[in-house]
Amino acid sequence: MKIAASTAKGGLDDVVIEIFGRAPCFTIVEVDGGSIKDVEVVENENARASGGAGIAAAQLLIDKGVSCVLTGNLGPNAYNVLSSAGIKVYEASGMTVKEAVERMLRGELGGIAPSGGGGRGMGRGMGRGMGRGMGKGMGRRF
Amino acid sequence: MKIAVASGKGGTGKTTVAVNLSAFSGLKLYDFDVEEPNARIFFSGEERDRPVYRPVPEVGENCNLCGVCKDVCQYNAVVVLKDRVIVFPEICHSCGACIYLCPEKAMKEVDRKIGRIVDVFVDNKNLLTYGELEIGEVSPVPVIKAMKKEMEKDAVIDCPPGVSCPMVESVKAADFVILVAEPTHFSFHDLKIAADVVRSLEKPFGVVINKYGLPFELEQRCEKEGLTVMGKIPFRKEFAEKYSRGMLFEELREEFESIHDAVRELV
Repeated sequence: MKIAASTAKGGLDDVVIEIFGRAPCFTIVEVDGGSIKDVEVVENENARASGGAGIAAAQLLIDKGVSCVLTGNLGPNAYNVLSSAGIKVYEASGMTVKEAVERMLRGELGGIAPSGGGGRGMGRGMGRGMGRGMGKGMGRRF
Repeated sequence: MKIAVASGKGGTGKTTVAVNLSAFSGLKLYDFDVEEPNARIFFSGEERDRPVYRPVPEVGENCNLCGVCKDVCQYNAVVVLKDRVIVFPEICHSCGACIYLCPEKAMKEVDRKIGRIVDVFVDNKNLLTYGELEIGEVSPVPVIKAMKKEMEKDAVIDCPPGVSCPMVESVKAADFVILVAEPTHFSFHDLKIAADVVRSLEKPFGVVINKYGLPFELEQRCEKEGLTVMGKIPFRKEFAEKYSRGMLFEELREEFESIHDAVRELV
């Protein structure tokens, strides 16, 4: 099973950051039989995309064969793409990647609801909700 | 003849100038500021509208999930899952690349309503046509393009503020551009940028100063920059009052007529 964490620099000792779509990189941890087998750091080329960064990040992780995502916050579009692909999303911001993976495996992490416009499906008008929900000045750069 | 009224900085008086120029020149008014079309506030009459669409992709059954659509999309509007393709029409810019490049020809264009065009009739005369963008749409440009297609050959165009795509798209339709500025550092700063944009579009243009009389030497600065001042609206309480009541500046009729005459000579 592959688990992806949104990170700034990447690696097991790096901290899971709150942002998803515009995270600088993802640390992808391969777990087998409850123990960590492999760690890969993937640069998020869409971090500076003018739009649809969350969607593109979700696509990247789908293509990587990830089945769980550890992050802090994500927008409704990214959330819908991930859940359409059967990928579960867990709240783990502030923990190290290693700690987050271990806690996830022990079932100690909670799921995340999409920020802004939650539960409204994939209709329009969700862009605004995203900015509001992400907070901390991260969603409004463009 | 089509005269575009633009500014760079917002709130300098584009709509004021456009409405009065239209009224006193007899040229029909078009409000291209489709994100906030407010020229209609000056009119009371019957409205007739029609929808504006733009094409977005829809995935057909013969899709084999090859992912070309996702790779060519510059806006991340297409996602390819293991068993299906998801399109985000609100993010799509209608470039058509995914449809054109799909090896299976599995994608087709479908219409998405993005706004409407409204004709305003006063005493059965269509004095104003404005566009209105749907909430959440990425770009006003397709609505502006739709309005341009059916525009009459004589028009005053109330442009969107700024100097980005919507303004450029609006100004491109015109034979002459009036840049409205007020005597402030901010307005002058943005006026220079707007003038650069209009110059690079190779459109003849002139400046109308609104709130003329405020303590800032805009006229002299325009002269230094090689910008021609074509008209002035004095900074007077009665204009603010008339504007806030949606009334025309009847006492400036001659001023607007002379602006119109000057434009006619220059075009």
